[in-house]
Amino acid sequence: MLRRLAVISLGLAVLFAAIPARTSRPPRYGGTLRVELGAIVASLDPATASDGTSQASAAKTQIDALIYANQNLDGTSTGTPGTGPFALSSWLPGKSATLKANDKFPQGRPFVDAIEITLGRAFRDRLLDLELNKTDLTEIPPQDARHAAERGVRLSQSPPDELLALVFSENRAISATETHPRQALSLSIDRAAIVTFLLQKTGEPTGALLPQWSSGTSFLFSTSADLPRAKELLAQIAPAPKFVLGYDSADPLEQSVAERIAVNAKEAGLMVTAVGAPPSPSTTKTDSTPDARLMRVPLRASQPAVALNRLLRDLNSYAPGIATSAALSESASPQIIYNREREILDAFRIVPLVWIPQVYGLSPRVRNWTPPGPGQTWPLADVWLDSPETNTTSPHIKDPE
Amino acid sequence: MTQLADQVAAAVSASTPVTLDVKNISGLDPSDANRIVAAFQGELRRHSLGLASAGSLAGRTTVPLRLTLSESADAYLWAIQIFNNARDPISFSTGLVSVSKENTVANGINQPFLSLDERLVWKQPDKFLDFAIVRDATVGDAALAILETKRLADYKLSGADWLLSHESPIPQTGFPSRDPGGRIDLKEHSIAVAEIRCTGDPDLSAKISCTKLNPPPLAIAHTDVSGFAGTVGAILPGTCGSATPALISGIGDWTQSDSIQGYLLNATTSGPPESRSGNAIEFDGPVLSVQADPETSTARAVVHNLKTGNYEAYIVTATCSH
Repeated sequence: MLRRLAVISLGLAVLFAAIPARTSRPPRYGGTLRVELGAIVASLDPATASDGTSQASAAKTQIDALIYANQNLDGTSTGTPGTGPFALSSWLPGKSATLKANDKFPQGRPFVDAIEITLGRAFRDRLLDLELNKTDLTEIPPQDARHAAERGVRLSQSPPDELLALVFSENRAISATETHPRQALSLSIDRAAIVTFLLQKTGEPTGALLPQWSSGTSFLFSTSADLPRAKELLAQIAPAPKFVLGYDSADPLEQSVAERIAVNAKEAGLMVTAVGAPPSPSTTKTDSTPDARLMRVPLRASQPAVALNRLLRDLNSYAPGIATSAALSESASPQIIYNREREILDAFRIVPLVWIPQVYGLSPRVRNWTPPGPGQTWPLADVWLDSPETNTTSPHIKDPE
Repeated sequence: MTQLADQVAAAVSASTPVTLDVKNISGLDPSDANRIVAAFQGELRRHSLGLASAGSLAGRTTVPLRLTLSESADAYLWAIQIFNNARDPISFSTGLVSVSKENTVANGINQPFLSLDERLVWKQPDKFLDFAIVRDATVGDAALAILETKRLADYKLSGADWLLSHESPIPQTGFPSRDPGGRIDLKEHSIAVAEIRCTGDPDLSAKISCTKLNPPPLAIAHTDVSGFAGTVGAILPGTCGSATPALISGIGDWTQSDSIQGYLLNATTSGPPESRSGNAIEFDGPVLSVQADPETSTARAVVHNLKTGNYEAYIVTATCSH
């Protein structure tokens, strides 16, 4: 019997050896990964802060992480040359960068030989390039993910890891009547409609500072609009307050959400004026400073206590005093984390709206890609490319992710 | 679960019924979720909180509870919302406990548990202390011995009924006790009532000879399970998972309804020394004794049914399930 099995096994081995490899399951070295980004990065010097939008800052962090492996706690690079999986071989500020694999990278040489990064590419062009197989990886705005999927683009989506929130800059003494207008505004917002119509169902409505998958307690914070209650609160204030709501003028999602909030607020009897504002929020108060603004804040850790600490630190840079208590211990219990969230949200200086995922468009030849989690960077050293002769998949294939 | 039930008990008056709504938004499968919910309901009953179904108490004030089984990035979370402000139905107080996903066995998920089943075998108006079923390999239950304070009665099965076939008086010594305690030990062919020990034939169906012993021959009636003062109970032979199963009564007096709850006793130094396991069996009166059968995972329980006034004999079977 054993001999018979051995013969069968030998036969199968011969059979497999005779068939050319059709899959890329074993890793493959070589090739150039083509990446297109919408952001314009002016400098790759890790010591230089990005002077552009938050998207530009995020893109710079990603590219830096490919060149310099060691990172500071805030995700910025320490700037030690030769430590990253790739080395910079050419650089046209604001336009393109070429990186070559670092053969001496301590965690092993990357699979691809090089990465070509094109900057400042409009989304429409990036989408077209993906469809024509002219690029391998690009970011897809979450509100356009459904449209891209309908066009057959292969998509990869992270868990929701970016908070879109409305943040009041003013830190006045809190009394019940002063929180009522903010609370009324929060109650007037139809978060479900923002997700369904503006984000095309890519995202989760939220009333919490942490996503459900991280804290497990997001469901305890209501996301429902309650116009009667909003009107009841506003009836206690005369005259009805007016708010100027700022948004990043370069971000079409923020603009559409701000305009939607203004419509919702009007239904409750609140006057909200949406105005475009510079990308980087300023803490310096001027006459033109909005009362509140929309902010997109990335989740920087999965662990809920750490994530909340970092989120509040980020928000505090725009709205000082938003969280006055000491940072939570990493081992804080769910009850303590929940209580902290509740305490902060009850002041209505932060009004969470939506948790948004990161969406990526991939060419069919990209293998071994996983969307980075909170605080992680693109795992491009792990990616390999199918060779042209083994690339038998259709360019219009939807990724199982 | 104990912690959450304690929070409910602190927030809700025992005279106010509660309703429980359950949601499972975690990755737990329904059987695990049901077990957790059952454990929580048991804890609420332990606090004497009346659990009513929604709509069954029309017109009466109830406190709605919502138990949500959730999960975070690194743990399972059980959340209880207590809606105890009738004037503001959207406000609630919240209690949260987390259970590590990496240590689910130690925290009651995917852990073996005890399923209890009871079978009523005898009832009579007069108090009895213990009972025993003498089995026959061919006919099953062949004889039933009922141990009262003053006699041992032996019954034989006739059709569906037990008929008295023989009785042996038990000599009385000293002052009668209000709680004498008694036990039948078929393996030793003996019975004990307070300080009297009697021996007889294997099924104790013929004449018995009795002697007075000092001190009393057996520690009778009350549980010898540490950590369960004020209860009656018994440790069952064998193990369930790595734990030792035990059956323990409640802590009420003889005027109250009672229950038998399965426990798993942890012999290791890590983890809690004991944990409730499975659903309790409820009785309409106090459990007076629980005696383990050394051969099987069953126990004999004597219960005083306060509704009928009868004393009842039950065989309680504990099944270790996974």
